[in-house]
Amino acid sequence: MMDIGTSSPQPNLPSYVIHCNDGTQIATSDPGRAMVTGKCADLNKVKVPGLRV
Amino acid sequence: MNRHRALLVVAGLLLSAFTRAAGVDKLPTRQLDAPTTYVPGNISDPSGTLETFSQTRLISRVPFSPRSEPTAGPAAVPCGRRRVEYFSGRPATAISIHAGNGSVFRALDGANCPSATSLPRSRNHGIQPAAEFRAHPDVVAGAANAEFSIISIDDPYQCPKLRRPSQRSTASASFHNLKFINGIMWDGREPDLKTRPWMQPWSTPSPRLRHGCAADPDRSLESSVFTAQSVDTQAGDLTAQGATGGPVALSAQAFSPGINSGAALPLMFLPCTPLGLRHWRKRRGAAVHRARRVVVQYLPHGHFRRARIQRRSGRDVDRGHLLDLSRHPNVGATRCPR
Repeated sequence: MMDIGTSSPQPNLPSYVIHCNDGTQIATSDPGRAMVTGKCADLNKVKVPGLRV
Repeated sequence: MNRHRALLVVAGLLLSAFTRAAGVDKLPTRQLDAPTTYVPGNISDPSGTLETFSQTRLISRVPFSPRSEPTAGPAAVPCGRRRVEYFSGRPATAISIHAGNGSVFRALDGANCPSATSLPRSRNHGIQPAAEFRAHPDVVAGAANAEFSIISIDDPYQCPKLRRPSQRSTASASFHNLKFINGIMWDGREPDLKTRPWMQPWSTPSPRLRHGCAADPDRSLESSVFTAQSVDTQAGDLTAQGATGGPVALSAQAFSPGINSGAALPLMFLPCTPLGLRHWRKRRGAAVHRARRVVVQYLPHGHFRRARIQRRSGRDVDRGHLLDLSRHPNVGATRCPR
């Protein structure tokens, strides 16, 4: 799991401003794993697709 | 004698007049027995109206009761006693009771539209992002010690203008437009759409638990319910001037996986995928053979035409044709990158 940059806000995607308890605000189009864990450290982290098939 | 006849005629006329005045010939029984049931759009939001259409007659008349809605998991709906209850009264009544909030007549699509979000909790608290992220709102709430909160949403699409066919999924118990569902188990455990026990609205993924319910007589009823948007606030009637919006036109569409199915196709259906059919060539066993038949059965004809493969059935399919198809991984595409 890592932030590979695919969650950056795009004009053609809905974007969400997320306020973390530590005061930081993050705009994202997909919070990624944070939706499951609830941790700000997991924001935008997604599973990296395998390169080998 | 003539006097008697005249009295009988007068009595008959009076009886028919009373009957008509009492509305006996307009009893709901007649309506329920109609071969086609059309439920006018009772689910509206600022963007338009959803309508539900059923091709079959209502086959049961048990009064609809909101309390009959199972709220727990699969155990709440024993085999053979399923959602026909919802259709057993008047569908319009059921819709009005649920008012779009229930799990039966929910507007699955348009989940990013607050008014179309079926869960009241989501609607009230604006947890649309959860639906957009394809996560159940409870999952978000279930993160007990969530370190963040969503403070604003910028959705460039607002409410969707046109809604796709809604389907049953794990997150929704809707069973509309099941004709277009392709989420069957492609490994052959559920070999086709007809034998799949997907009428179990809260079914578990385990087919072992559900095979006993495969031959349910309510299946034809439930699989003939179609819901689609028929009116758009800006565009107006989506069936006007030959337009093919609305549930009636939707019900006439043929099912083509990947074209008018809501869920994504399995990887083996995708053109240019090295994992696709080649991967299946190496598999053996009866289940795989059944699944291969499904592939051939439900792939659009165009795939085979483009691949110059004659469509066959039976053992030929198992042995040869999928192999042929695997040599043409780019069916449906002009050229695959190498």
